[in-house]
Amino acid sequence: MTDPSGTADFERDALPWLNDVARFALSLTRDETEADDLVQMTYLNAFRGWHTFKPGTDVRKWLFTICRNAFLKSLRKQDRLVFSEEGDLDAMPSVMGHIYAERQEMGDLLSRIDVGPAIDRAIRELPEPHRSILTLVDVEGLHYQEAAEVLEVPVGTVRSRLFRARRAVQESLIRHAEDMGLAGGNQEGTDAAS
Amino acid sequence: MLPADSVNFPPDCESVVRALWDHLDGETDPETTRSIDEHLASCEGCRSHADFERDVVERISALRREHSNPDRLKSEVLAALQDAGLGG
Repeated sequence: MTDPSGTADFERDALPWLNDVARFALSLTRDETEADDLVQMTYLNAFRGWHTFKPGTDVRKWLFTICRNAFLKSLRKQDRLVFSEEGDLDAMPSVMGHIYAERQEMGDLLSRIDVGPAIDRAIRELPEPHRSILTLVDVEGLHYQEAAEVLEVPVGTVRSRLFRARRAVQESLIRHAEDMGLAGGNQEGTDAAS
Repeated sequence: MLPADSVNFPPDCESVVRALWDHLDGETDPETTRSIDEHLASCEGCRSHADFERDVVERISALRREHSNPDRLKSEVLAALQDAGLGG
């Protein structure tokens, strides 16, 4: 019996990645109901586009690409899509210097406070494409090259976006610590508080 | 992979900081990795910085959440696919 539509192949090759796609969707949406809809849309789009899948390539990455595109589409529909400006990566050293200056206190703080909710909030507030890249590399554990293939961008773009995303999370943590009165902030702030 | 010429040899603090995330992500070549590790072993400031960066990334990774009911989700997805023609 032939299977011209390839539905048996789809069932065999794509469905086993459902838990991975669900986790990725959950990381993007941070909401299980939204993630369920996203997973369903991902698999429907994948099934309809199965004829475009190149046999022998990575199904999981292909599904992640579809999932991420569906996620962007849903944000657009809800008018929630905010794209970050790319900026200039040469700004990195000065920003790293800023983080470095804060680090002396932050290193201790990470072990003293529950930063999970603050990180979760920081990721939720990340604009695209930073949330996707942080999710792919830091949550799903993809290498830069793999993430580049999912997002269909050069690996250098993955690197700069990932670094900006992490920097944004770090700065959010610093603000969180300052809000809790646990980080010094600048000298003026310290003087004002004393 | 981060180009090898992205890091000075022997690496100074600035080039280590620039390459730190690549290094922690396993995206540096073996020679660069070894040089950065040697620098971190001898430079308390950069080592402390690296520890902080690693800690933040590990805490981001720790937010990885599995679906609470994967069997239900799978049933729903299968039903939707069957409506669309899977197995039909």
